[in-house]
Amino acid sequence: MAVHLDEALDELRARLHAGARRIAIRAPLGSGKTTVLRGLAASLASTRRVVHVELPEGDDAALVAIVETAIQLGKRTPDLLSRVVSAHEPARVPWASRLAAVEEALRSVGDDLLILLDGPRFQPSGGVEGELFAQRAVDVTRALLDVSRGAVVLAGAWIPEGIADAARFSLPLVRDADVARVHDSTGMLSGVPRPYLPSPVAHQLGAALASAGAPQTREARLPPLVKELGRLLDNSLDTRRVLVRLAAIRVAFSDDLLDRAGYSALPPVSQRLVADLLEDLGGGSRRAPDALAREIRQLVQAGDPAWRTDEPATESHRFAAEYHRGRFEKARARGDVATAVRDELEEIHHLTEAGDAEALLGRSLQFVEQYDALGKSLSQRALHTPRDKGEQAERLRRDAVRAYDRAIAHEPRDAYAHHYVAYNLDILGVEPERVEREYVLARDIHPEHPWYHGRYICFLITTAWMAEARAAWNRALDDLAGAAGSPQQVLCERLHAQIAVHLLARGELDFAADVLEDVPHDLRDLPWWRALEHLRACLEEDRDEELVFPPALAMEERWLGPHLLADQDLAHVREWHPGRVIGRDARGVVLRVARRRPDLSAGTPASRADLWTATLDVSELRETWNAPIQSLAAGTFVELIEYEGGTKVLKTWDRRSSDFDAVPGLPKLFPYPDRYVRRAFA
Amino acid sequence: MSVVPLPELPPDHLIVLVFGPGKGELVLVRAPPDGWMVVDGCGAGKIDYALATLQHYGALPRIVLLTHPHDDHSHGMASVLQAATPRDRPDTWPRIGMVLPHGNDVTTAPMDFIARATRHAIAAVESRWRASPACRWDVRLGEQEPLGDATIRVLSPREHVRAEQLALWTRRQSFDKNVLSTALLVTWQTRRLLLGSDLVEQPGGGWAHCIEIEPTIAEHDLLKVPHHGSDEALHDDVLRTGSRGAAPLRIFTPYSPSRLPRFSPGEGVHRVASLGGTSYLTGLPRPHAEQSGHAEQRSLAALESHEGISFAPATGGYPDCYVMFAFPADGGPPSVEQGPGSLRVDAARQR
Repeated sequence: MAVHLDEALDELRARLHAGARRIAIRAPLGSGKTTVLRGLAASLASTRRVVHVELPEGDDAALVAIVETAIQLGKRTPDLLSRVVSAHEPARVPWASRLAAVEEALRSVGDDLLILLDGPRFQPSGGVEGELFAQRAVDVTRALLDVSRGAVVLAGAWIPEGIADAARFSLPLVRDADVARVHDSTGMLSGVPRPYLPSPVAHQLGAALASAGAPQTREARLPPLVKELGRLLDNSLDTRRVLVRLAAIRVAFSDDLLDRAGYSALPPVSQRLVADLLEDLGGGSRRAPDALAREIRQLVQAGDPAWRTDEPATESHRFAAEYHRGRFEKARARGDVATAVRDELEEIHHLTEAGDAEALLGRSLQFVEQYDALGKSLSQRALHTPRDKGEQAERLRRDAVRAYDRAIAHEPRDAYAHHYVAYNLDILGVEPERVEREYVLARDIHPEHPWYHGRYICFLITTAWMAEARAAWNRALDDLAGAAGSPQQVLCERLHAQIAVHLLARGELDFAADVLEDVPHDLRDLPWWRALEHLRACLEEDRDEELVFPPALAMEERWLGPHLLADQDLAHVREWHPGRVIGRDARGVVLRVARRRPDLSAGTPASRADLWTATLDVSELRETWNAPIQSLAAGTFVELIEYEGGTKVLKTWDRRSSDFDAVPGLPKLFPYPDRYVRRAFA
Repeated sequence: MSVVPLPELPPDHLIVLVFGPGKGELVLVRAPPDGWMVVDGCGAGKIDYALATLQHYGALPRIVLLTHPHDDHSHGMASVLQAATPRDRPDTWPRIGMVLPHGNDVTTAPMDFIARATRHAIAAVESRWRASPACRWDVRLGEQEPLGDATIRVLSPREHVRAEQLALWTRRQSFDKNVLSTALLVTWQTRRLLLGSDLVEQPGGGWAHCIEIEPTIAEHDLLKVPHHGSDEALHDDVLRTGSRGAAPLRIFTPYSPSRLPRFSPGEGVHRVASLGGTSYLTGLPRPHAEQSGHAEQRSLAALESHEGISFAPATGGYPDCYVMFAFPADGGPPSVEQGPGSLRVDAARQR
């Protein structure tokens, strides 16, 4: 059911008044959740103590949420903010202490407390490097939800069942209550599908596009409309730049920002378009709708041509950082600590997004997480740096290490920072003694973290300390056996798969077999396990001089040949044998050839078939087998085929199929294992 | 099949054990009283021959050397280094020699099992060098290393050859690993052993240069024939028996991918044997599973068509495909013990 804002607010107020403790508004991005929470906050501000927290996009979501909570609760608990943000010694308040301070403050408030939580987080996802930040956002969410008094209204795209009672309305919001009623009643007619209602943001954008003269479109989804908007501005890069800058800002802003962003210099038609896209929050405050801003940011970051401007993608973040810096200084000058702290958070977020290590490392940051986030941002930039710009990538990684070092200086038990100091240096292939020390520190602080074990073990394999790698593997199994957290599948992907692929890269087949054998049976159908086991089996057969099938060929297809003939020729085949060239010189070739034993199944390894060695001289190759010796280098996989009429042919597998790394589904081998050797001799 | 044990080592003898199970080679030298050197490595199936042999004799190597970064010389070297380099006792580590890592020819060579093992071996060398620089041996031309009461002298590669190949390596281009091979001269009392690794005469004139710096190179008791006896590696002035009384011993290791050594007149084993001495092979250029289960003696003529020979029983596995030479201190005749799979070449006898 669509709903008008007033109806949604009435319903929420009524339920809160009736004593509801938790209410969840579940709806996709751009449906109007934020508008509802803002409306609720405004309408109840005079009767309840409202704490309204929006978890923004970005690695500092938890930090922003906890600071916002402290600021808003701090109106009645004045020392709370100073317990979250130390006024004297920057970056010295550990995360756990901050969280505890907020939890304590929450326990001391009365029943009139109303927490409005926009964008709560329930899963520590966010990729490997983002896991710490995601986990902290989950921690904050839990702390706010666990409040024993008052009520909580949550709004998010995904809120697990059982957390809260669902709101009794459905989004999207509509601007006209009649539209909502018509929409609902249509849905009640049997057999008539309810018409699709665009999200309010999509609706707003569609209208703005129409006003700006864009071609008529039936498109009602936001992502294509945002692309359309970008394309419309192909000839107005100034307008596009203004929108990109405004989209970078995560908080409400005043008109002076519009001017700084270049709005005033735009032609009237463009000004109208920009104005149409912004939300007017009242009191001279504006904001780009969150869903629209996110979409634009994503397209800019991805380098989408529809959203390219005449300046680098990072410039919008520099612009935003400068804006918040100005606000921070003004707030500090007038003694407004809360605003100053909040604006500084935003400034640092944008400098981090811009990857400005120089600016950030040149100052003292308030929060360890900010150094961690900077380190992450720089590492990610290094990861996406083109391969031919190795020096740039190295500079980024060394800056990332500096950022993590700073985090460690303030929080010696920051396992995340220790781990990523190690990982960045490890990727560079430098300072292996320090790499090992930092990996071990991280693991010992957080022994339940699979990556902290896995990457350390991979490092030991890479540097060929195999007894130590084996001991670390055994330790990982012990530490992780009883650890809560990652589901078994995730654990195996992060630990077993990574270790096995490194072991196989070095021909450590027995150790790899043990690692793969440790994966539970119910996970062995996963593509990565099958691929690694297949590669292991192929390498073992190769080592034992028994491999006659190319690695790219699946085990179960091995004996379903011949594989190298056209379909129409298959019916005339009398006999075929898989084989491999094991020797070649000017006189001819030596082949290892296999014959399938009738009692064997299709996936039987060649080693359990009958194997023999055949020598074919040059003339026999040419005259009998129609095969030039030049194409038969040692290692080449072949099929020896004999037709019913006695004609023989020797077919060769292509190079790609014969590549051991071409086994489909293999996990990526990263970092490249030769890095220390190359660094040592380069 | 019963396992044939490794031979006992006569005390106070200079011992050379050469393994080669079809692809790859390993030379173990024990100089009295107890100086062990591991040169390269080989294996079959799960067995790393060097480690297994060292463990059998309770030996700790004093020198471990990868003569050049070719796949057929590296099998098992990582295991040897792992066993010989306890992390908390770097003072006990052997000298570890290597000229250059493998090249960046991953795109041209398949990353098969042995290519991976080679990279592992080289990573093991590099990590030990870094962890304890005192163990690093760059095997520079002319350098001498003590081994028990013996001395090891480096005969190759030349500095400019090393520099040229390193430049190619740095540019990630393929380089010729054989011209980089480290040939060694082991001297003990009056004994001289020439370990030819894969050093070639063509290209690069590697052996001609060795003769320049060691004019009496042909005066040796034993030659580990270079590069599996390929035409490119053989130099008659190295092979001609010198003025020493006893006929020199020659030991070949096979390399099946290139069907080396060859036995046709004027090539490989035939060419070496025609210049005198007694030749042995650790095995034939064929898969390990098809090597003989016995020590063999075959005529040159029979070996010319060796592809037609099948052995029954075939090898039962390690310890096999080896020949051990023991040189007494008094200058007396050396004793030779052949393991299963090895062959003594009877140059005179007809089929």
